[in-house]
Amino acid sequence: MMRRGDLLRGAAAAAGLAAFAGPASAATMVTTQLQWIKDVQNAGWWVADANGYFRSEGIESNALAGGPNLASVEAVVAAGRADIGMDQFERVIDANAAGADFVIFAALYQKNPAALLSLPAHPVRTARDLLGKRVGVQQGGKVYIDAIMAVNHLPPNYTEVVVGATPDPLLQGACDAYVCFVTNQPLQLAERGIASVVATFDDLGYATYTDCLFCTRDYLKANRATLVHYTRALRRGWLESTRDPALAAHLAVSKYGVELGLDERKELATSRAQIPLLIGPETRAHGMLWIDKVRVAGPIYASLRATGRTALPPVDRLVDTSILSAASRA
Amino acid sequence: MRAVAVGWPIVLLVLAWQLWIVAGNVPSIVAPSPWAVLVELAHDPLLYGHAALATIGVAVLGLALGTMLGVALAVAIWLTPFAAGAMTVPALLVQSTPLIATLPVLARLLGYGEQTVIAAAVVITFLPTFVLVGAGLRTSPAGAEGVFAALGASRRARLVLLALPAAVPSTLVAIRIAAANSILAALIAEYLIGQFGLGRLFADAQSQFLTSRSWAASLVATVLSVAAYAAARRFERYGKRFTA
Repeated sequence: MMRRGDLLRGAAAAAGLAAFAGPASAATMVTTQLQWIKDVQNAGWWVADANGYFRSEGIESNALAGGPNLASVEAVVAAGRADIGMDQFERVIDANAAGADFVIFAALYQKNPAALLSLPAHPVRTARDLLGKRVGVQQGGKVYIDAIMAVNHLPPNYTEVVVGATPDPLLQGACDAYVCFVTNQPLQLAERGIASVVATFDDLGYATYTDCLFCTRDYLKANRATLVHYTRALRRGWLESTRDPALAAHLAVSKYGVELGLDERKELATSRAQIPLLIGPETRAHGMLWIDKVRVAGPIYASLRATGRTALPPVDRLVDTSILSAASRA
Repeated sequence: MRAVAVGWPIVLLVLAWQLWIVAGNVPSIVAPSPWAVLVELAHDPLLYGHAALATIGVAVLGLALGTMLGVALAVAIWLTPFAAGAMTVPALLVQSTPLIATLPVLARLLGYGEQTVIAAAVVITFLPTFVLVGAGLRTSPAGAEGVFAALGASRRARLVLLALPAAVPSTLVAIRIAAANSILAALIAEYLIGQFGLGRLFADAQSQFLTSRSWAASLVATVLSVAAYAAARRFERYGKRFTA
């Protein structure tokens, strides 16, 4: 006897087949919970959508805005409100430690864009330079400074100053170093003609992937083909965004993030600044959005151990590169 | 009996919450069960006690300073009508801007630290006092103004003997309104830039997916807000016995 579940699965399979039959049939909807607002930092989704890369793969992409008011990307995905989430490597690890079962299948930035910003009068170039300094972090950022000190075998002898998302406290002298993103605040200062010193977390010994794409293990098992199509389209979108950063900025400003009132000049600056983060030796070898298991097992796990996370899962259980590999094959 | 009459919706709500978690198989990173929250509270009561004390300290200081500031500004306006234009507009402006937007400005003026957290509570609590006391100063009993004028009372005597006593009931109302808000303001400021308190505890717990802890912090904050409102209402009733 055929049970109801089988009937539903049969219908879903039929719908799946129909999705790839041609552009006229209904596409498979994939909902992505972004980490941040709909600006150019999510350029790949906008280019892949506008240029029809998703459509030609039989995917309809629905990207949900993230940002400071979102409790957590992980909760949205765990609750089934999104199929795919995008967040920092550490957050996915912590969510799994708290009972979730997520698999990371791709990563956007190949280098950690987080950095310490300081002024030339009191430059911070190494972890040792932080000793005795006042470090401006946004709420929740202290753990990373502690980790940088631990990785470098230094005591956490610095003062935490909790600040906001603009580098003004640094300019006002409320702190000596400020945690920034290389794609954001240093560009703001440069635009205002202010020289600054930038030391990335990578340079300071804290390695991570800041923009991992993940889904639940169940979703990955049940929707492998969909994920491959989705990833292939998204890769094309991101690759095109590095070739035409102006298009990516324009799409964010005029279409996908239109209600945000973004400044096209700033978006273009960010769009250009993120190119060296998106492309590295590993993406040249394996394609865009690559996540490297050797790097995870080595420097990234070493960084995480420095934050006190000792019970780390086997890399093969957490990271699955088979989707990326399948997406490379036409 | 009264406890049952007041408490049954809360009991029902908690039961529905537990049912939702269990029946819906809700992952713990989405929401904890009420039982998990209670276990978390019982596991580390000192953590919540210390955080609650810090938040209460900020709220009480903010309420006291905010009330004083509100009364002082209302009196200034009562004394000099010119001050009305100079103060009412900025007062309304500060109040109608969300705290999230005013906080960076406050931090820039006062620095990134606890003083700014307290200032946030002051900003939130002062306007009800300012408006209500301002109105209260003008509600002296009918004919009293005439009596004071006939006796040739000075402006100061009229303030101390007539206007200020008339404003006491509205001051008590203002404190009742501001008390729970002062807890809320302390939480927001602690969450964004604080080093201590329930708001900071909530922020840290959230960043580590400790949902039981973040919900426990919220629960303690809710209890504090309700207690602040209840205490202020009792204070208002107590005060009114002397002014009625």
